[in-house]
Amino acid sequence: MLLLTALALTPFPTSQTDAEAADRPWFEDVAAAAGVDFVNVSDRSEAHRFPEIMGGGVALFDYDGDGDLDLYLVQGGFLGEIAEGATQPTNRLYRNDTEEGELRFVDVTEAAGVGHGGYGMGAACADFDRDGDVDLYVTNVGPNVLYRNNGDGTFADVSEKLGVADPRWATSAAFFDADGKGGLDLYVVNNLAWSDTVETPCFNYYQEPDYCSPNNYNAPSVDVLYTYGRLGYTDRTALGKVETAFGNGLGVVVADYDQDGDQDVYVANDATANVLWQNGGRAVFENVAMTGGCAVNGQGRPEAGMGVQFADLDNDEDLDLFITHLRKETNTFYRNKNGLFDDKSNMVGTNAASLKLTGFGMGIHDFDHDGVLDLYVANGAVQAWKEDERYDPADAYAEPNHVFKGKDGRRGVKFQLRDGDSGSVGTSRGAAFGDLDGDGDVDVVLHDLDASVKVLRNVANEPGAAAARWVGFRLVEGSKKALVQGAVVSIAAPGTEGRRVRLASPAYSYLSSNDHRVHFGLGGADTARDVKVTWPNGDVQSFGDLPAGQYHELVRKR
Amino acid sequence: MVRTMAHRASAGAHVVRATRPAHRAARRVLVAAPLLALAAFQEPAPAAADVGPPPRIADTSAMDASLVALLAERIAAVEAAPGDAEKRRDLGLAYEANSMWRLAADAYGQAIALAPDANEWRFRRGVARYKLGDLGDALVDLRAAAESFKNTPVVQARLGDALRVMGELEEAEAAWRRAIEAEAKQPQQIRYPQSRVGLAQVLLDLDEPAEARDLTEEALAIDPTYRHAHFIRGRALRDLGELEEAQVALALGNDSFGGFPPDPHQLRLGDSMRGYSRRMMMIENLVESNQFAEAKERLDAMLAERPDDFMVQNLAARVALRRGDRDAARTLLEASLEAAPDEPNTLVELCLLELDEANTILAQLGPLQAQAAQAQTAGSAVPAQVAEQMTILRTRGVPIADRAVQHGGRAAELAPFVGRNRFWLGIAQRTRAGFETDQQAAMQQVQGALQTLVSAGKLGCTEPSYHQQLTQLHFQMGQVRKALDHAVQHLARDPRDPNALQTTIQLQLQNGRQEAIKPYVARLADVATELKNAPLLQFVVQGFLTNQQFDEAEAVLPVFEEAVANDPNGAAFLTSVRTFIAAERAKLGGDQR
Repeated sequence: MLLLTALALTPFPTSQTDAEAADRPWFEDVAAAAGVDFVNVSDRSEAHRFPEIMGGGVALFDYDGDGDLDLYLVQGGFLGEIAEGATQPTNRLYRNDTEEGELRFVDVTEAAGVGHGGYGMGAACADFDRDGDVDLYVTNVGPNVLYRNNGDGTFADVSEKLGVADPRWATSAAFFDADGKGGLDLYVVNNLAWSDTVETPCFNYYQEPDYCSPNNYNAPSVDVLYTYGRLGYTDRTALGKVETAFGNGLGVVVADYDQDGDQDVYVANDATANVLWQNGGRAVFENVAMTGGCAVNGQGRPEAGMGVQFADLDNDEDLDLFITHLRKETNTFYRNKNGLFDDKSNMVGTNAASLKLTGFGMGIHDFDHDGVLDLYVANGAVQAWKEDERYDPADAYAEPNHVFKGKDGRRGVKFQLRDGDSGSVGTSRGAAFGDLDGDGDVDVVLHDLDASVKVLRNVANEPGAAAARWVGFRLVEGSKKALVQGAVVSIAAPGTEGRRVRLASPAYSYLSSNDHRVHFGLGGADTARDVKVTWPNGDVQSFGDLPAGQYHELVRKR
Repeated sequence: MVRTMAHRASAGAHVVRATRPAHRAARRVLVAAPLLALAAFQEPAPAAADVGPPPRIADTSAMDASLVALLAERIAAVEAAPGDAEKRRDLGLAYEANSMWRLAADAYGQAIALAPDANEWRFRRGVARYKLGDLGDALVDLRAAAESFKNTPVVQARLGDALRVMGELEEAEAAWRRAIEAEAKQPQQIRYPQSRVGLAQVLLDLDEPAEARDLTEEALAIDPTYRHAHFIRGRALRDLGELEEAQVALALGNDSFGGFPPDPHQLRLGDSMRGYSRRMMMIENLVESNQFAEAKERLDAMLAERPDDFMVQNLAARVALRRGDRDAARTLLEASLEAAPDEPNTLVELCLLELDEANTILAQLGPLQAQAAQAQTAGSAVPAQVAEQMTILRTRGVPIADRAVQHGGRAAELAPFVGRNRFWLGIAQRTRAGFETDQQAAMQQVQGALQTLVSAGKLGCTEPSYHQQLTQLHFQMGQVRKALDHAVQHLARDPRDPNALQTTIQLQLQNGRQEAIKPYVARLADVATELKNAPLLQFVVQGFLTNQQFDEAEAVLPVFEEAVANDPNGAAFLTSVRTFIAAERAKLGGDQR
């Protein structure tokens, strides 16, 4: 009996499956077979209008409440005049009809009424009205759109009615409880105050016309904070002090990083200092990024922040930050130490790989269920590669994506690039992460500019006993079992005395909304031990030991 | 004293670290790698044909002509003498100077193949490979170069930097220390702040903030203008728990470039820079450093090539304005507007030009207005000559200010979400108010300007003086709390601005927050001491006395005494302060020191 327990707790069992998994690619593109026929239209042109190179959002959410993840893809379209004979392409919603592990999606856009035709950017998903179904917010170059889920497979556009149709160019967005009142407030990240009139000629390394750096426009934009109340949303940007810092915003994540019982917001800005909004407790924020150590990199330079995620990479049970950046910049790891961050990118092993390419979407997950976090980075240039340097002769901006395997080290996780396992080559932007086929591992949906969307099925874990080395959690509250975001789930780390923590929030990566569920790889363990949830207000609830190989619903006790 | 002890403790930590097995292993690698690399160089040089044709860009059709011409010239030189390593190296320099790292690395590679002993080019290739992100290959080159150029600080520093990025921290530390040691061996014994700050950065990664702080302070003593030292010092202070001081240091060093000791090839690299945006960037840098004559010369050359380029015209106009040539600025901007009629940036530049003109007139009007007010207060008539002068100035100024408002307004209309455009509209409105004869109308216009500026802030305004302007306007409107709020925000950005510090202190006092002035007075004391500015020092002394900080006040007095050496008023102030302090101390029951 003792021996069996010990075996179960061994963190990295060596098996035939592990050895095989080490060699083969972790992901395979099954988009076509699964019926996802979406092709991005960015309208990249000789005018090099800045938004053309920035779009490509993805959302994974269960819109019909059947327990699987449906797929929403945000389309760009024509930013300038629509070519003769062409029609403006729209965003698409694909319902997940997977059966017995065979991924299958059906386009239900028209029936659901979510085919918005603006020049789209990103998406955020949450049950903002707490009625038990998941709603959808879409950001645009132009007015944003809030779709309320009617609960019958259709949506209603309530943007104007609820006052959230800001006309400026927005990128990422996140729902969260800013004021601690229980409702889901909304943070919308704005990029720059772009219009055709501010467009300006720019040149790449070869002194050829190309896309500008956002700083060429000198027009960064203030973000927007809306708080939710009985009468709908109220713009709280000024009262919440959110106008006191700004930048060319692209990514956003929300968490109680300082563990003081309220939700803080971190915004990754492009070529301007990042912002860390420390919540004063009642949706009044102060930007503490500079002293907090995560405004600019360790050398004092603002980097081109794109995708971002909170994750505990040094295994000290708090949430660190990882941000993707431009070529010649590192993808930066900001270690959280007692609420102060520090650029420790050289600790995690990604510098050499990231300096060569431009990272956008990203996800830190345990893709191979060995108990250690791995990393996926979706890359794609913003300035053209010269003909003889290109990764794809047909696409001057295409770059290979990066799959990193994580190994536990003395100072936390160290990533190792999986050579030859790029997953994909393209001008990748949004990347959303979630278990699409219900097999317990994390798949990826990748949105490349001017290319077909890729549905990357995780094949790192063979079906069978070894594949069940995972556990998942769905966090809900209230009689309608509305999804909770901003909580932190922790389990006793298999084989060590520490704990592993994961943030329950769909808002991370780039322009994307991800699986609401929380996922842990368990190494060899068949049980997640001592499961605890720290809810967004800081309350802690214990759930004991829970069996591996399934999703558990964790209900918040009030 | 505390600092010295911290330094010693930190030095002790080095000894401990040096004995770590991992460190010794790293050392072995360090020694072995250059030897291997050097062994490879001992091979006989290949024939010219073996190193291949010079690396070139296949399609240059869309590239800037000046860059294409330079590359063609260097490639032709290589082709004329294919066995000449120097020609290959020159081509490498051209590619490197223009950020074409892959091609630069390839060209240097050919030069190295032809002249294996020339480790200078191995250094250059290491830099190019580093920029390219080929860190492993870069390290091989830089280690070899560092072995050859032990006494060249920049070579050791570049190696140290690459090692830090790769996470090879102990080795990085050793390289940066060698860079500092190498400086001492230079004939001039120059000390570079960059080396100290580079080492400090590695020490921060090694969790040794005390020595890192000391090094940055040493760097600042060498060059107080090296802003990057402030930033790294701020990081060190934060790690040491000195958050308030860290905040100031981080703000002072924000957005600064970390540098390296001088690179012997820098001049040649600079000469090889070509292309529109690089040239424009260089001119912008010249303008930033007030080198207007050279900036103009370069702009004239560019204008000859691209007479209708509104961006060149706008930059040339800015330079003309900075040189005081308003007519030239106006001509350029009008031509620019003709080339691109709806260009908001041109409209803003025009607005700036008109503000410059209007403010010159306001500066003349100000003393006359004061004279008139004085006369009115005394119950006498405004002298006719003064009234006439005022009318003339107003007649000249109003249409100029109106045009500024018009141009600012048009820019804001064309790009309605750009805060900067609205900022300049607000400033123009405020300037226009200065010409108003009716006090009430003037206040209404100031109110309008304030609203415009507030709306600029809601959009996001990048202008450095934004909060300063808002401070003044809110204060003018009697909104002390809001004025204070903006003054504090301005200081967060520019923590040592003496005017802003003075304003903040005054506003805090007006708000009844006597205790709150302490940190600002202390900071202003540092600034005033550095500047040896008598009025500022006097203000500081008064600030300290407000909170009965007698020791602090007394510490400033010798500097003040020095600053007012020949000023009887200063001497009188000094005496009165000393008397006051003595009396206060007596009242408090003795010497508190």
